[in-house]
Amino acid sequence: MHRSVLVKTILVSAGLFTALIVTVVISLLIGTSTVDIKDLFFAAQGDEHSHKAWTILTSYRLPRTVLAALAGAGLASAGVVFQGVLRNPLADPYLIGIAGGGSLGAVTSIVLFGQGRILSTSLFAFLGSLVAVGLVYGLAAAKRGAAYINTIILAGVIVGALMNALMLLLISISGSDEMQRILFWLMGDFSLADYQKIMIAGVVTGLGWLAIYLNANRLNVLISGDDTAHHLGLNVFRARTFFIATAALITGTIVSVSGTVGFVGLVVPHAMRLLIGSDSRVLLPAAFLGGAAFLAASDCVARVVAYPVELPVGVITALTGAPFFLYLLVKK
Amino acid sequence: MKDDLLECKEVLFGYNGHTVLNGASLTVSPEDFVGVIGPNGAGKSTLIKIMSGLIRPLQGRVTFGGRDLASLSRRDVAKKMAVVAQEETSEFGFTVREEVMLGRAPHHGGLYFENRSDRTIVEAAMEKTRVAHLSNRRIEALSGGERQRVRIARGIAQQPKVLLLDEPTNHLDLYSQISLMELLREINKEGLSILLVSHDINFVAESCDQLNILHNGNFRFSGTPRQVITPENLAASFRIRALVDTNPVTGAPRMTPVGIL
Repeated sequence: MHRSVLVKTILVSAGLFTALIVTVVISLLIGTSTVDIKDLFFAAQGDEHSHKAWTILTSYRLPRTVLAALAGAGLASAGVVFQGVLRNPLADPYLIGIAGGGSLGAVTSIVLFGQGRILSTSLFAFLGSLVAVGLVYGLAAAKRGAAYINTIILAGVIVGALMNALMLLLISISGSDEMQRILFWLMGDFSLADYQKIMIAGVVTGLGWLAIYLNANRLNVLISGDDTAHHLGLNVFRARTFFIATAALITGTIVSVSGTVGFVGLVVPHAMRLLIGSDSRVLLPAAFLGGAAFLAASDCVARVVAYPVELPVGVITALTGAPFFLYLLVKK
Repeated sequence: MKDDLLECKEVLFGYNGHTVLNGASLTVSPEDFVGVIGPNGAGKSTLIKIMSGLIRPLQGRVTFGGRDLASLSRRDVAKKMAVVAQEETSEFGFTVREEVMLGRAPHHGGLYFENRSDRTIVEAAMEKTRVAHLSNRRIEALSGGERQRVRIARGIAQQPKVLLLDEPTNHLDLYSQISLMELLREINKEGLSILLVSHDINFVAESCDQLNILHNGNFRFSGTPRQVITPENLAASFRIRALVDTNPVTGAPRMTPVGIL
């Protein structure tokens, strides 16, 4: 007798949640200065040295780890949605131009206002993402029909390339001395995490994920093909628009607070699918928790592995994600 | 019983100024097994798309239980009508059980975990189509005939009143074709009405009770297989010379092509 999907969902979620908690705790304790659990205990009693450790933990490592986890959760969930709706295993949250648009927005802001204006970087990145998605969706909607999915993918690639070209143009002609900042932004960066960013990313990712999960069975139906979905009673156009818009909103928000971290949205959905299958009811919670653990761990590694230099987190996700993806490709 | 009557009346449809269906009318009554044959380009697939509400006719109407298909919600239609259309490939294969469980989607909302009755219905559908032993296999690992039976199981799990099939014998070997024919006859006897379009004349003649030849977007010949499958009718619509005799075992008309016209 096979195990019911509900039981499987609960078991998988509980397992991955435990893995996430362990990852977060380890990541909080590891760093370029040691934080002892003992110190945290003594901090409560007013010990000076312990107080410093407490400050490192709460104002630096904790927000950073939580933001990384949120970003991983959102990107992996958005990856599940994009791969499913576009029925393309190579799809990731950045496929429809969000990365290009977000990068152009962020670089524009860094060039114009300098790196001090973090809030404007985020705002510009978010607006850039929206413009890119709007363009892609507008192009696809103008050509509604059988070739819809191909149109979205092609339009996404082209709009993304255009945005990238504009960004490089901007960097070249501005002679900006913020290259380090720009590079970190392009590879993803959680070093500027704060509680305000966590709030924004948390609310959007949480609500967006919930809205998607409440439609998990519709995503399953949509994966089986447009005509099949129609015959199974789904309003295909409406469902597809809902999924793409919600996943794009999550992705755009995460890009605006953390830059364009690669590979999470591509590799985590595949890894989870390999482990537990394609049923969105199990896959969505698994990707959320697995993505969170993966990116929190990657950020921890990026923080400490090359001390005293800090690496962009995208370097770590690419170095671990790319070989895994190659392995998947060869194995198939 | 009139509630479950599927009907299209004087349907007109075309792409880019090219007429595909030209005033075609067809009725599928409860417990009917209706077959439609015709040469390539006669409008067979378009007929299935029109009758299932995937596309709307330019003129004429399609009704189910007397109500215009366009006025019914997608979900309400899917509870009454299942469609096994040309296969759409998916990169993310579900298991057989997951695929058949999709047939329960019209009966539920956006997030649900199947209950006991869903499970019973799905198990029964897999038993009926003889895919139960494959239930944990992934779809893409199956043969064409097995996949076809899984898709029919998914249709049965919808608990529809009528089942529409578009060229179900495509790419099937003889064993799979014959087992498909027996399966369709069996579920039809149990009360499910069936509309089947195919270019496979003998397959349709063996399976169905009423047969129609679609030619140039309209039904030219209609009746029992014995009335419709004649050398004259086949010559007029398929442009072939054919001998027609009787299958000595089943009693169905049997067509043997001997040349073109």
